Amino acid sequence: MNGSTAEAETPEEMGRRKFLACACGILAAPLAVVIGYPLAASLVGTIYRKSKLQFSKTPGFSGAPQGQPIKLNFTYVETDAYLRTATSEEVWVIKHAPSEATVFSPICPHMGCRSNWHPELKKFICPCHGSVFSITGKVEGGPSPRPLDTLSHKIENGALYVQWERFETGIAKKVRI
Amino acid sequence: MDSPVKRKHRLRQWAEERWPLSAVVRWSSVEEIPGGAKFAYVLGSATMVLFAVLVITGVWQLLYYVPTVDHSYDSVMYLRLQVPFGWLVHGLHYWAAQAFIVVMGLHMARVFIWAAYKKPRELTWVLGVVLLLLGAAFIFTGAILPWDTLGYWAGEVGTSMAGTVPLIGNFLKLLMRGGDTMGQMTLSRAFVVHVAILPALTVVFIAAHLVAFRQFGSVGPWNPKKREKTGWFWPDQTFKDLLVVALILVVLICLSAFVRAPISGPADPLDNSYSPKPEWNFLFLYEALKAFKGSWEWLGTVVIPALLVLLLFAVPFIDRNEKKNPFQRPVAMLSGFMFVAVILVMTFIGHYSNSGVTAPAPA
Repeated sequence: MNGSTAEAETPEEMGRRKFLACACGILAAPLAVVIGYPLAASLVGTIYRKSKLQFSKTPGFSGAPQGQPIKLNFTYVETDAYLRTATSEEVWVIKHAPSEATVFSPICPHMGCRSNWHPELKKFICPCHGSVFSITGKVEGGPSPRPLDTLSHKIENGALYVQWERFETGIAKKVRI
Repeated sequence: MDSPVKRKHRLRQWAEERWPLSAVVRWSSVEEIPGGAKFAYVLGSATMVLFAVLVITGVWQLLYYVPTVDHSYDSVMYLRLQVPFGWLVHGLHYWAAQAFIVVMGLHMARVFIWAAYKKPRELTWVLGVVLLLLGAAFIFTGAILPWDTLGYWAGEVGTSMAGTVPLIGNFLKLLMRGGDTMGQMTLSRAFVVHVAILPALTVVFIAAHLVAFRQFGSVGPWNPKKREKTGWFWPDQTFKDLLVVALILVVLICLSAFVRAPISGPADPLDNSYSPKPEWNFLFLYEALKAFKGSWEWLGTVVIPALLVLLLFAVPFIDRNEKKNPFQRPVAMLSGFMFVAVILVMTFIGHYSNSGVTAPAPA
């Protein structure tokens, strides 16, 4: 089986075999694309997908004191691909009026630790690297590259609904993860 | 400076001195086919390409699938509905599995008609029968994985059938289920068998099958005059193989697009409105089972399948007549025809029959 029979050596036979070899390539290339494209698309198609934002009711707002930050807990359903998990989170809420508030994410924009309100200093301070923020969220000290991140919210019939989301840390711009 | 052609030549020579590329290419592509290339010979290659499609789409599904009773159904539905082309990956896996069994059956029929199982190809046939059984095991374990009603009951009935084997039946059933009831352990076992053990065994048996095939070559036409002319595997037979493979893939893609792979709701063990019925490939066995009841049940669950498998294994050892022309082998051809006819008729009866349990008429 060395492929050197008399028939195989004629120029006509060699030309025929070359033609068939090219035809195989021409046939195989679109097949590879037809199979390869959906495989590639299913591999990368979901990686830039963001989870849907939702407003979650945050109990305790109606009884909150005005003008000072208060930590409120709420539960939201986190969707991670096909997994739906009830998750608890907390936010810093400053009630200005019964229908007006500012909501800060507790996550420090520097490295992602959780900042705390210190009533005696009237500052938010991150325990990890000492970033200091005013009651308006402005950076007053430490390494944080941007102010505390505010969260979208709405107040309906005296109840606060917060849209929980996370942002990239360590950069000056507020970019949603 | 060297020309690109010369550089390419030198690179090839460098590689060749370190890895026998030419020898491997020669071994896998240079084969003289008695009687020349034929469309009748494409079925083996087509089966192998289908296996490759199953491996690729199977691995791709593992990017999304989780084998847990509480999430496997959701993960399959996420793949089918949320992932771009996920429906195609899942559909191709399902339809390629059906085609794998059909094309393998046609390949066996072709080999039988051409008498390509006779000396010295007996072990090539035996290895092929092992591959068919591995295919059946793939179908059984794969059906369980989405943990939908269909898969749950396929697992329940399949493992219960194993339970009817005399003496070791109960042990087999517990082993397959990983406990006394269908649950997480059953799914984990079906998963590991489907994605690790069966693929590994299949690769080993395909390799052994191919080595035997390459050693003895194609059997060619039974007419000696037609055998005088020869053709080549590459590119003559390869071109025909590719044409048929392309056609099969187009059909599979169309089936995936227009006939969605079946999936019922999440498994519900309490759902007594569901009458379990196997997929088409096990319908003949299902029909055979219904003929035996009570203490004779093991005849249908064990003896008949075992006899069918033994018969397939024994074909080259029963038929030792050297003639290859099917017209000179009337007994073999008639037996083969009867075998296929019985399987087909029982499959059709199984398809149109009820599940064997009739609801009592209202009083």
